[in-house]
Amino acid sequence: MNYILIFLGAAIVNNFILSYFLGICPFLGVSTDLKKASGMGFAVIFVMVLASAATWGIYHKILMPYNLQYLQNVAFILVIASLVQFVEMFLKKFIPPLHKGLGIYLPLITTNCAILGLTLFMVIKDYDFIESIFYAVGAGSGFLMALLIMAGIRVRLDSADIPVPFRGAGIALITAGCLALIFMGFSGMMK
Amino acid sequence: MRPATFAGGVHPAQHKDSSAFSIERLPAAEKVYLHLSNSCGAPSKAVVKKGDAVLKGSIIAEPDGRISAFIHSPVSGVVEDIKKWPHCSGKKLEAVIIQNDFKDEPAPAGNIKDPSLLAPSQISEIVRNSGIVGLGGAAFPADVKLSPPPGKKVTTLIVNACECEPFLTADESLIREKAADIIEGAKIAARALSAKQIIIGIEDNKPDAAQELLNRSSERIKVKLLKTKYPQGGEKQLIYAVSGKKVPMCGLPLDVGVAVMNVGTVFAVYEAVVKGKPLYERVVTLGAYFRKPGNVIIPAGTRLEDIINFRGGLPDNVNKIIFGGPMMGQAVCDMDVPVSKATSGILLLWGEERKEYECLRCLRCASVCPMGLMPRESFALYKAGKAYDKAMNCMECGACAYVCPSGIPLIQYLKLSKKNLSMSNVRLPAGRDLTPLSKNGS
Amino acid sequence: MKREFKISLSPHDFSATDVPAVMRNVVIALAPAMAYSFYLWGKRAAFLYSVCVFFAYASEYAFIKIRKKTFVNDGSALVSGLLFAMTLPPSLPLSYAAYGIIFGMVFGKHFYGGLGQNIFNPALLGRAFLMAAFPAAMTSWISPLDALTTATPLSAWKFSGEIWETGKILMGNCPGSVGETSAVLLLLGGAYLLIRKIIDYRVPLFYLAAVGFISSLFYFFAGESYGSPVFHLFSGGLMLGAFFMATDPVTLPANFRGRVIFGAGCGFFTMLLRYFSGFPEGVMFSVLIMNALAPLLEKIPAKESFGENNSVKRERNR
Repeated sequence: MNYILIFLGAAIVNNFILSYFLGICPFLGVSTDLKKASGMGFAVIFVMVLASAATWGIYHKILMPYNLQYLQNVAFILVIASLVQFVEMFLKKFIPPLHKGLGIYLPLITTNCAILGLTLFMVIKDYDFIESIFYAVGAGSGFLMALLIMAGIRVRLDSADIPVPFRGAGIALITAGCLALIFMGFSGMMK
Repeated sequence: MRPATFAGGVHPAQHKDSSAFSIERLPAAEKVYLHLSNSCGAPSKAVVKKGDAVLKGSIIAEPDGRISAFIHSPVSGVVEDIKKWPHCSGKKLEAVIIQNDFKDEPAPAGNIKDPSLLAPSQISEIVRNSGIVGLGGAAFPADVKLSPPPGKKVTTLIVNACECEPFLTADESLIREKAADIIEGAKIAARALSAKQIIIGIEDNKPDAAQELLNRSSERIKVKLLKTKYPQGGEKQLIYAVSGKKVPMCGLPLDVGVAVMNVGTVFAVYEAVVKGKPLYERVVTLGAYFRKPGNVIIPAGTRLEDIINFRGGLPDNVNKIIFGGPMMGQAVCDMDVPVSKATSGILLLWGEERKEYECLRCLRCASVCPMGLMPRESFALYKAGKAYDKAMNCMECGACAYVCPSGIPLIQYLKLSKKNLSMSNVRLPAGRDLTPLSKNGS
Repeated sequence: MKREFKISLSPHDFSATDVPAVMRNVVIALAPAMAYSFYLWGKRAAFLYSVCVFFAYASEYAFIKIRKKTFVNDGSALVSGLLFAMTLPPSLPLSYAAYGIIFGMVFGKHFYGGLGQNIFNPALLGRAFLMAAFPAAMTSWISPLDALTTATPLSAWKFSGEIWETGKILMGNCPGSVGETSAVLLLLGGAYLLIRKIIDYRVPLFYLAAVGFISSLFYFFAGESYGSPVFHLFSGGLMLGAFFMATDPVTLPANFRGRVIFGAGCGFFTMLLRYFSGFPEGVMFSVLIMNALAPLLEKIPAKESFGENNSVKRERNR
C-alpha cells in the first residue's frame, strides 16, 4: 500500500513538471505531438528507474559507509550522464525513428533537473531500494502523463486563433501554468 | 418491429399551406428554353436545328450515353435558336429555344399497349423514350433505375411520397387528385423491376393524401406512415424507416434489393406507358410569398419571369428566389432562368443576413445528422488542411447547417472534404455531383 | 427595374437558436438560483455580480480592441461573469473578484483566441487563480442572512465530522459560494437547459451518476463518515458544476463517447478530491482536470456512421 502511495504521490500529487517545475525544457520541446511526447515520456521513465537504482546503490553502499555524502551531486550527475548516453546508444541502434524524433531533447535529459531532482529527493526522503524504484516509476509516469496532456492540448491549439506574439512557446507556457494551477488541487492528499 | 422513422433529423417549420390548393395549369408562355443538361449525367444532344418545326411532345434532343435522357418539347412551334442561356446553376448552358405557336399540336403518340402484357425491358424502353427522369430532385434517368444490372435483384419498390422539404406540396396534391394513376404507375414500375412488393412511404403530415393511398392499398401495395421529420424523404432514411435495411456507405438501394422512386416519377411512368405522354411538364409548388401561390402544372423550359408574371408579379418583400425546397434548393437570381422538367418548386422568400460565430463544439450538427456523421470535423480538419474521411457518406441534406447556432456553412466544408477525398477511387452517392464552391464562398 | 436577389448555397432555412440565444437560455436557467442568492447574501451578491460582469465585458472588449478586431456581443462574457461570481465566497473583497475574472477571461479565453477556442473553463480558471493567490479570503465563509463566519457543510463534514440537515442543503440555506448553495434551484435550471436542449445531457447525467455511485460505495462499504450520497449530491458546487460548468461545450471533447467519460471522470475526481485531498470541495479542480484531458478523449473512435460497416468500394460512375 505504501508503494502505491509513493507512486501516486510522485505521479500526481507532486508531479515533477506541474508541482516542482522540473524538466520544463523537454516538456515544452517535445509536447508538440503525441507520438514524440509518449516516446520521450517512456524514455524518461526508463532513465529515471535506472538512475534511481544506480544512484541509490552508490549513495547507500559507497558514499554513506565512507562518509562521502558531500560527493552526492558530482556522483549522481556522472551516473545520470553516462546512463543517458547508454539510452541514446540503445535507441539509436534499436529504435532509430524515436531517436531521430527526440532529437536534441534526449541528451538534454542528461542535464535535466528532473532526473537529478529525483535522485536528490530520494535521498532526502530516505527511501529504501524498492521505495526508490516505485518513486522513480511514479515520477516518470507523472512526467509522461503531463507530456501527453500537453501534447493533446497543443495539437488542438494548432488551429486556434492565438494572438501572434503568443504562438508556440508562449501559449504553451501559459497552458503549463494553468495546468500547474489545476494540479494544485491535488495538494494535501495525505492518506 | 420496424421503425417508422430514422435517427437524427430536424423539424423546420413546415409551411404546407399551399397544399390546400388544387392543381391548376399555367397559361402557355411565348417561348420555352429547354436546356440540354436536364438530367443527371451527360447533357443530351439536340436533334433539331434552328428553324425546325416541332410538335407538342416531339423529341428535340436524344441521350448521349446511358446516363442521359431524351428531351421533348412541351409546346408546338418553331425552334428559334440553340444557344447558351442562363441555367439555374448560375452558368450559361446550351438550350433549345422554341417559339410557341399556341396551336398545341400534339406529336403522334405511340401505340398504347396493355401494361400487363409488356415485358420489363419494354417498359424500360418506353420510360427511356419518354424522357422520364427522377422527379425527387436528382433527375436520374428513370429507365436506368428500372433496369438493374445482372446479378442484382430488386424485391421491393419503395415509392417516395414523403415530400419532406418545407413549403413543397406538389407531390401531396398529385396524390390527392391522382392516387389511382399513381398506384397504376407503381405497378408498372414494379413490373419493370420484377419486384414483388410495393411500399409507399408517406409522412404523417399529409393525412388526406395518405388516406387516398390507404384506400387503394393491398397485400402487394402497402402504405407506411412515417414520422414527419426532415429529411425523411432522403433515399437511405426512407429505406431504413420503411424496411429497417441500411444501405451501405457509398452504396445504392440496389445493394439491399430495393429501388426508390419519387411519387411524381411513378405518375410520369403511368402517363408514358398508358397514355403515351412523354415527360415535358410537371406539378410545381409556387410557394412562400407568391402573390398567387399554389400547385401548378408548368411546362418545362418556362422562364421564371413568365411564371411570376402569370402569378401576380413579383412582390416587394422578396429578395431570394429558390428552385426546389429551402433545405436543398438552388438560389436563383436571374429572371431568365427557366424551370426544367424536374423542378419541384419555386419559392419567393425574404432572406435575412446571418451572423457567423466561432464553432462552440456543441455537437448539435452531429446529433441531427441522419447519416450519423460529425459535420464539424470537416470544418475543424479543413483548418488543418485535411479532409474528413467519412464525408463521402454525406447526403448534403443541410440539417447540420440548419441547426448550427454559430451559423457555420457546414455543407460547404463537407463538400470540400468530399472534393479532397474524390481524388481517390471511391464511388459517389447516386445523383450527387461535386458542385464546386462559388468564389464568394457564402 | 432591375431587382437584386441574394445568392447563397443551401440550406436557406435555419433554426432560430443562435449563439446569443444559447447564452440567453443559460442566463434564464441561472435566474432562480441568482434570485435566491440575493435573498441569502443581500447586497454582497449584487456587488459581486456587477463587478464580475463588468470586468468580464471590459477585459473582453479591451483585448479584442487591442487585437484590432470587431467586438461581437454574443453574451458569452455575461455568462462567464455571472457563473464566476456564483462560485465566489460572498465575503470576498470586490477587487479580488475583479482580478479573478480578468485572469479567467484573458488567460483562460482570449490568449487562446477567444470564443470557441479555449481549453479551460474561464470562470473556473479564474477561481483557481484566486485560490492560489488569496487562499485565506477564498476559504472564509459566512452564513446566509446574518453574515457570521462559519464553515460550509462540506468543510464541516470533512474537518469536524458534522453533517448538515438535508433540507437546508437542498434549499441552499447554508454557507457556501454566492450561487452554488441552492441545489434545488440549480437543478431546476439544469432541467430547463436539458429540456431546451441547450446542454448535452451526457455530461450532467454521468457526472451525477458517478458521484452517486462512488459516494454510495464508500458510504455503504467504508462507513458513514464518508458522507451519504444524498449529502454529496446536494452539497457544495456539484449542481452548479454539473449543469453549468462542466457543460460548457467549448471545453468538452467533441465526441459523444468522450463526453460520457468526461462526465464520469469529473465525478470520479470530485469524489477523490473530496475524500482525500486537502480541500473540502473538488468540483472546480475536477472539471478543470477533465478540461485538460478533453483533447485526449477526442481520440476515442466514434460510433460507425449509417451503413459504414459494410461500405462498398466501386469505380467512379461514368
